[in-house]
Formats: sequence, C-alpha cells, structure tokens
Amino acid sequence: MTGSSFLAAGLMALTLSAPALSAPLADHKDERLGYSIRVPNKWNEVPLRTNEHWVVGRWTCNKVDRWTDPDAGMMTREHRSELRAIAFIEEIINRPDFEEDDDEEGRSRTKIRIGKVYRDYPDYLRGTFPDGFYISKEEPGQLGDHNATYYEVTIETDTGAGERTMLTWVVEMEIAHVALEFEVLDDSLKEKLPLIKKTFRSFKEIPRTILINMSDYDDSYVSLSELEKMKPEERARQVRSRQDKEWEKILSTLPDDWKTDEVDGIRVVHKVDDKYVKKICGRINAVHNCLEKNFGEIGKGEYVRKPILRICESYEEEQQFAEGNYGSTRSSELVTHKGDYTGFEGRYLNLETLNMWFMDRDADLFYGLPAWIRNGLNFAFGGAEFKRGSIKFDKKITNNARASFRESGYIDIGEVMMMNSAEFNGMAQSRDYRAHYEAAALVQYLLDKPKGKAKTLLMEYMTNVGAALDEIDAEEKEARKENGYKRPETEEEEEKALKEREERFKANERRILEQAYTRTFQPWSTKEKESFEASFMRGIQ
Amino acid sequence: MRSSFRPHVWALGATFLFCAQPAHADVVVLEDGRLFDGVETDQKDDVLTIFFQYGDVSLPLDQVREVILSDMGSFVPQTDEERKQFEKGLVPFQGRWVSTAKRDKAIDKMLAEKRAEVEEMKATRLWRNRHIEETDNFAFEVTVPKHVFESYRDLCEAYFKEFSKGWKLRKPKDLGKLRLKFYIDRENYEQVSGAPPGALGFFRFVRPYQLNIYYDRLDPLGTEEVMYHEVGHYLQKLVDVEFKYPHWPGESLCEYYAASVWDPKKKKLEWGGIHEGRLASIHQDIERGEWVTLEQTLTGCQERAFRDYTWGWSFVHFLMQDKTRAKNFKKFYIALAKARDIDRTAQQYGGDRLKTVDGEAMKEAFMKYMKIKDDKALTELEKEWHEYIQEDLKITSARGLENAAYRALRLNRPKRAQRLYEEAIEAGTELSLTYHRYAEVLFRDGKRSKAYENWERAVGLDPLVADYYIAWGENMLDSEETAAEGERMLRLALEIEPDNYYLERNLEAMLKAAENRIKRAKARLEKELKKRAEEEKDAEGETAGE
Repeated sequence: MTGSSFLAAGLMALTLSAPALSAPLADHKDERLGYSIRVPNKWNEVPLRTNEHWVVGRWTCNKVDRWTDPDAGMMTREHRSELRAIAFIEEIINRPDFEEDDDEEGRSRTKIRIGKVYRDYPDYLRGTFPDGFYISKEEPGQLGDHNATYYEVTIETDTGAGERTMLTWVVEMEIAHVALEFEVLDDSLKEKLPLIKKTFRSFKEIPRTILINMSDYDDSYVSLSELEKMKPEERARQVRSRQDKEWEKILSTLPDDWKTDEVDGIRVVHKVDDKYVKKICGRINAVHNCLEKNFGEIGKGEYVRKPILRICESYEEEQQFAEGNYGSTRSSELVTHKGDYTGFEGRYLNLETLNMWFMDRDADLFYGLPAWIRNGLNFAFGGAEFKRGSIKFDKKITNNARASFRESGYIDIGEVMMMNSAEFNGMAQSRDYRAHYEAAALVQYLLDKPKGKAKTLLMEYMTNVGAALDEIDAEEKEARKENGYKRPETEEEEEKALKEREERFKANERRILEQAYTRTFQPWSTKEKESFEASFMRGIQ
Repeated sequence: MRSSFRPHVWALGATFLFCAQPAHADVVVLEDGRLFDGVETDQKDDVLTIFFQYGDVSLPLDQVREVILSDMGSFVPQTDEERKQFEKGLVPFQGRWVSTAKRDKAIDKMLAEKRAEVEEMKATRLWRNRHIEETDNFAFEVTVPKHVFESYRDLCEAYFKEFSKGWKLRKPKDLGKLRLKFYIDRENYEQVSGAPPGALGFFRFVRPYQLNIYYDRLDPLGTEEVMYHEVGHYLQKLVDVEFKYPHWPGESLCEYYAASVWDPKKKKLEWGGIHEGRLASIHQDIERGEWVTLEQTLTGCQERAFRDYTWGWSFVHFLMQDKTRAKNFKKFYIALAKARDIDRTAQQYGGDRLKTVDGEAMKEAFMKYMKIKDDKALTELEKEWHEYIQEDLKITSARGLENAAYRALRLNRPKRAQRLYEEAIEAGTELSLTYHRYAEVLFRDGKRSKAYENWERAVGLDPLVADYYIAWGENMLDSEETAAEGERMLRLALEIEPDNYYLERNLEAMLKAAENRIKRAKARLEKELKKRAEEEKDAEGETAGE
C-alpha cells in the first residue's frame, strides 16, 4: 500500500472513528487565534523567528528518521518529522499592499507593506516551501465542529531531499484559517500516522483572550536614508525602540524550555549553560572594546547596538530555527549554537558584531571603505580569538602573507593601498592572492602591535576616507542643484551618460584612495614612512 | 451566447457546439491552451467576441480552438425551401435536414463528449492529474493541454532521431526513455520541480535522468529554444553515459541546437540557425571592449561561464558552418568522451561517477583533433572566428531584435531598447509581449500616447492577457481624462484573470490612491492659478496706479 492510499483510507474518516491511542500528548493553546491542540509529547518546540508572520507554532520530533537514497549511491540521510501551525488571518490576507493616509500637515503619504501576502495554504506553500512539491489530494471535510480542507502534499525524491509527505488540515475559524501541517518521511509515515491522527483530533476551539496586533504583520521600517536625516538622539531612539520591539517579540514566542538573561549589556535567550553564555557575551564585548579602542572616533556620539543573542543547544537546533534566509542589517538578533566556538562560529560572531558596530556608527563610511581595508578587517576580525577577556589576532594571517611572499614575492604595500576594487579583486580572480594576504597582514599589524605614528594610522585613514566621501557627496549635490537632471534624449546621449557615470564612479573611487592615502601620510616624513614599511615587511619576511 | 443563430456547427478552424444552458455559460478553449468557462460569446465572420462586464474582447478565430455555446437560439427559415422543410418539422444540422429531436439528441451527445474533454483539460492542469504518454525515446508527464503538447512531443522525437543520425550515434541499451516533465506554466514548473531561481529548464544529468521545462504561452518560440537546449544535454548522453561534457563545449553545443527551426506540418527540423539573443549579448561585450579569447574558451578560464552560452555558441556555430571543420569538431566532440589519448578526471555526482576533461587537456585535444599545429595557428583561428562574428553573424530577424531590445532594457539603455523594439516591429514581429514591453519603456520615457498605441497593439494581438490591461490601466489612472478607462481596464483584467491575487487585494486601494493624486494635482493647479491671477491683478493695480 502506498503512502497516499493508506492515508486516504485513514485521515478523511477522522470525524467518524476515533479509536483511543496510547501516545501521550502535550497541550498547546493559542489564545490569539482561539484554538488548542495536543502536540505529541516530547516533541521539541522550535522558537519562532522575529520576521515570521505566518507560522504560529513549530514542533520537531525528538527522534530522527533515516532513509537510504538510491539516487545518491545509497547514501543514508536523516530527517526529523515536524508539525507546523500556520495562520491565514482574514484581515491580513485581504488588506492591500499599501495604505495611503495624510500626515499631520495634510500631505499624502503612502505606507508600503513589504512582506509577501499569501492567499491560502497552497499559495503559502508555493511561496515558501523550499523543495519541489505538488498537492496530491485536496478534499473538503470537517475537523471537530469546523469546516476544513484536508491536503496531502507530495515531495518527490528527485528534489534531493527525500520522499516526504505533508498531511494538513486547514480549519476555517472565526478570524483565520489555521493549517496544521505534519511533514513526515514516507518511510516513517505508517508508524507516525496514529500520532498524527490523534493530534488532529485534539484540535479544539477555545476563547480568544489575546488581541492580535495587526502592526506586527508590517514589514515596513525606517530606512537608512531616513535614519540619516535624523538627529543622533532621535536616531538612537528609533534604533533602540526597534531593538526593544524585537526583544519583546522574541520573548512573546519563546518556548518554556528556553532561558533569558542579560550579561554585560547583552540580552540573551538560550538553551545552554550560563558559563557558555558568559563566554560568548565576553567575546562580543571584547570585539566591541577592540573596535572602540581602534576606531572610537568614527561616528562618535552615535548609539551602537549590542546584538540580541540567541544561543541554540546544537547546530541542528540552530538550523531548524534559522532555516532559509534569516537575518538582515536591520535585525539585531544574532543566532549561534553551542559547539564550534573557535572556528567558523567564532568568525561569524566577530564579523557580525563588527558589521553592526560600523553600521550604527557610520554606515556610509563602512560601505565606502576601500577594498584593501575592508578585506583586511574581515580577515583580522574573522580570525581573531577570544582569550583572557580580549581579542587576540590570529598569527595565521601573517604566516599566509609570509608564505605568499616566499612563493611569489610581494607588492609594495603602498601599491596595495592604492588598488581600486576591480584591481584588488581582479588579482584574486586570477588566483594571485598577494594583495589579499598583504592587506590582511597590514590591517592586523596596525591593530595589533603598531609603533609610533602607525598606532593611529587606521583611524586616521578611515577619517580621511570619510572626509573624501563627504566632499564628493557635497560636490555631487551641488552639481545636481546647479545643472539639474537632464534625461538623455538620444541613444548617443544615453550611452554617453552611462559611460560618464561609470567613469565618475571609477574617478571617485580613485580620488578616495589617493586623498585618503595622501592626507594620512602627509604628516609623515619619508624616513618615518620607510621605517613603518620596513617594520611591517620584517614581520612578513 | 448572444442572439445570432449560426447555421454551421463547424466554423473555420474553431469548433462550435451548441447546448441549452443558461446565459453566460459558453466555454472558449484557445489554441494556446487557455480556457474560459461560463462566458457569453458571439461570433461574426472571423472574430469571436467574449462579453465581459467591463468590456467586450474580440479575438481572431485562428486563436480559438473550440467554443461550446450555451444556446443555439431558434432557427428562423429565410427561403421558401427552408420554410417548407421547417413546416415538416425539420431543421438544418451538419449539412442535412433532420428532425429537431434527432438534432437535439446528436448535439447532447457531442456536447457531453466535449464537456468531458474540457473537464479533463481543466483537471490535467494539476500535477496530480497529469497526462502521461510514452513515445519511442521519451516518457512524457505533462500538464499542458494535449493539443499544445502534441507538437512538442513530435519535435522531441524528431530532434532525437535527427541528432542520432547526424552524429552517427546509437542509443545505449541501458539509457531507457527520458522522463520529460512539461509544465503548463512557469509557476507550476517552479513549484513541482523545485527548480533553482532563474532556471528556465533543467536536465538532471545523473541517473535517473529527468528533464523539466514549462510552456510559455506568450513566447512559444522561447519554449522551443529551452526544450532544444535541455534535450540537447540528454542527447549528449548518447555519446557516453559516464561522461559529463565540460561547460564548453557542452552548453555551447546545446545552444547551437537551441536555434533550430521546427516545421510542425512537415515534421522537419532545421538546425544551425543564428541564435540572435545570444548574438546580442556578444555585441554588448564587444561594445565594452570585452572580447573572449579562444584560450579562455578552451581552458574554461573565463571570468564568467555565462559566456559559454554566447561566445561559446558562436564558436561552435563558426566551426559547424564549415564542412571540414564541422567534421573535425564532431570527431573532437566524440573523442572527448571516448578517445584513449585524452586525459580525463572523474567526480562523483549523486550515485554516478562521471568522467570529464579539464582545461589544458581540453585545449590539447581540441588542437589535435582540429589539426591545429601550434599556438600561432590557434591565434589565426581566433582571428577568423572574431571576424566571423563581426562579418557574418547579424541580427536581422524580429526575434533577434526583440531579444536585443530586452537586453538593452536590462542594461539600463531605454533609448536603445526603443530603437530596437521599433526595428523588431518593422521586421514584422507578431509577439504581443514585444508591444507590451515597448509600451512600458515608452511610458517610462514620458511618451504616453505612443505607449497607449503599443498597448493597444499588444491587446489586439493577444486580447486575453490580464497583465497588459493591468499595465495599461494602471498607467491611465494618473490622468483625469483617462482614469475611468484605466479603472475599466483593471476591472476587465480581474474578469479575465479572476484569481489575480494582487489585483484582488489592491484594486480598490489603487483606485482610491489615484483619485487622491488627481484631486491633489487639481488643488495644486487651482492654487497656482489663483496665485498667478492675484499676481496679475497686483501687477495691473500697480500699472493703473502709475
């Protein structure tokens, strides 16, 4: 009997026959939507992401199912069954993508809702399910006292993720249609079916005691350019308020077995021991301190967020939580897991903290940094370790530069600092990594053990990049004001305008490099410069 | 059905059947597979009109495959002969005089059959009800209507046979039939196949082989191109199932075949056409001074592998148009998979371990089989190839110009796009999408009335595309003179495509927002006029005072 055929015999008859089954279940109540179900006992509740608008509950099976893939050399793969509750709130699915109203001064303003809206369960699957699938069965029926539709969704093995089936009841409730969806490996379907049936049968309507806040369903946000126009205090208020909202949302959907904490100004939700929490927070604060120490003058007075930290029990738990694309420059949440603390995960934590710090201090400068320094910062902070309360830079970076020097010689460091992004990245594309290694070693050298004037070189260089960016911006604004924008009238004008834009971009990039370099080294004597270069080169030679 | 009585059940290419149903119950099946159920229609001469609440849409009969009419009306005899027969209780039916009862019975039977066909057609759009059909070399699974699928089915078989003959290849015994999944539209293709974003089709090159493509009814030629390309990958398996052709020449040869032309009537395939879409891309590179060298092509060291579809294709085309070179190239191509004197590497893909040839070995093999003595001769060949691109490959067809225009648009060159669209139109394009895209770029360039003209032509060519009415209608909303017509078009679009979720949710808000914009613009204008009048009055006062 195939998966589908025995399902057909079983699930559609739910309301008619209800034999007692022994598997224990745990209660889950949703007082916003007004329903309760009994979730299979010992299944783990997965916290919901802050940008999640559709899934209102997630649980994964405590046991892993295995299957053998005949199309991948009989490789054994794993899958964890999952139960999801998804809500299609009538008011949300019917409202337009934008709303127009008047501001205090009577001017029209349009609020655009960015998030994707799904009409119903099949539409939601089409828009969100990552693998190929089709609805193999769709039948009207009843779940409890409610009209409902039963779906079977087939996920074929040629998508590479295993033959699975989703069994779903979509229940028509007062304010929403609620989908209860089980995703199970076909090989395990027979075994899990009694539990699935029992869960479906446990669906009940309960009084709605919590109001749904419709503004939670808006993805609209204050853009970077809007933030830029604000005064620092107002900007700080906006950023803080957004972070507070994010924190509230995290707490409101946090499963019972998660803990909350605040360590040295970092808000944490976690499922690990306190010692580990302290260690991770220590690392983040150490990166912050290092950034303050070296670049404290950049965007001074601007409010800098410390991330909201979510520490999962394991890599698998993190994957379940953050599947697909999660995270953005606007979000403050940093998701990690216990385990690979020193390798990839350490690099990720360092760099995310670095990004957040620079984005809050001076996003324009961060985006406008020359390739060599951006690359150098990534290498230096990416490889840095947390030891005895502070950041220790990785010797491997200098070693790489040394090995590259021995193998292929070196490029004058001044030349590297004058490379535009096409030149810098072009070298790596032709598998010549000298500039990359040297830039990384230089940034690390300047962060780690600079001497004399080199101690403030990075800070001064960045300030000069910022000044060059501001000057270019002011000149372009002025030129626009004077000349206005003239739309090309002919093909020739169009081509000329595009070429000019391309050339202007290149010229601006070159100007930033030259201006920042010249102004930074202007106060240096030739001897000082030579001595600095020699000191750096000694390190890698 | 509207009142006029039709004496013939069969009319032109389209089939008309009558049944006794309430009004608004006609069914229209279009040649491209779309189906409109429960509409009111009328046919005069070569035009079928569908009456929607927000407008009548007329379409040429050659776009209509079948119409099932809800009501035949009553027969009114016009001549003495007709009156005589009518008095006997006879009516005309399929060229004969028959009794009303007999005619009604025959119609009921035919109607029941046609209804069943329509219901089947509707049902097979869902993947769970897909149509499965096996031919000599393919196992098709399709959701496109049968009458649309048939031509593609024949094309695939012809392609397989011609390719095997041309390359002197025999199908390996264990290759089996290719499972080809052909979806009704892009949305269904992406959903069921789990296709990666941006892929117009894909061939699973490890066992079990499988091919996924979709039917683009607005661009059937594009559908053919994708089919040729992807089936081409499967046909490369005829050489050696254990070999994976490198990006060049693998993709480039598929592109060579993608420019084939299929004559469905003669069931004949002609290959070696100019892939003008790819040529437009090459021209763009040349303009930027980015020439691709033979060294880059052969060793796979290109900055962008995409150029194997463009420059790579042109190189294959260059080789295949010369008899001697084509012969050597074919030998080289087969040798890559089979010859003992070529170094190969192997890699595991899923359950298959596949051999391939890497950069330097590829160059070496190419020079050997193409009888190229040294690097100097290779440079000569490169020079010849580059000259061939400039001198012999030209974009002349409407399709090539459309592709070039679309490419110019994507590269932010609206003026160039306009010129190329204009040339495509002059070259006789019949693709409604071209007029629609041209209208969009014209509108953005402030050429409102010319844009409207082109939307009108798009709608004239393909009158039942909701997207055209949406784009046209939305752009009409901003002017008081055209706002009402814009609203009508948007509402008509929703009638044509009742499940358009975007329109369903946003139509009223769009209309309200447009109304407010017009009101505000009017208020601004009035304010400005008032201000000017006051200024003039003041000026007059001052003059009078003087």
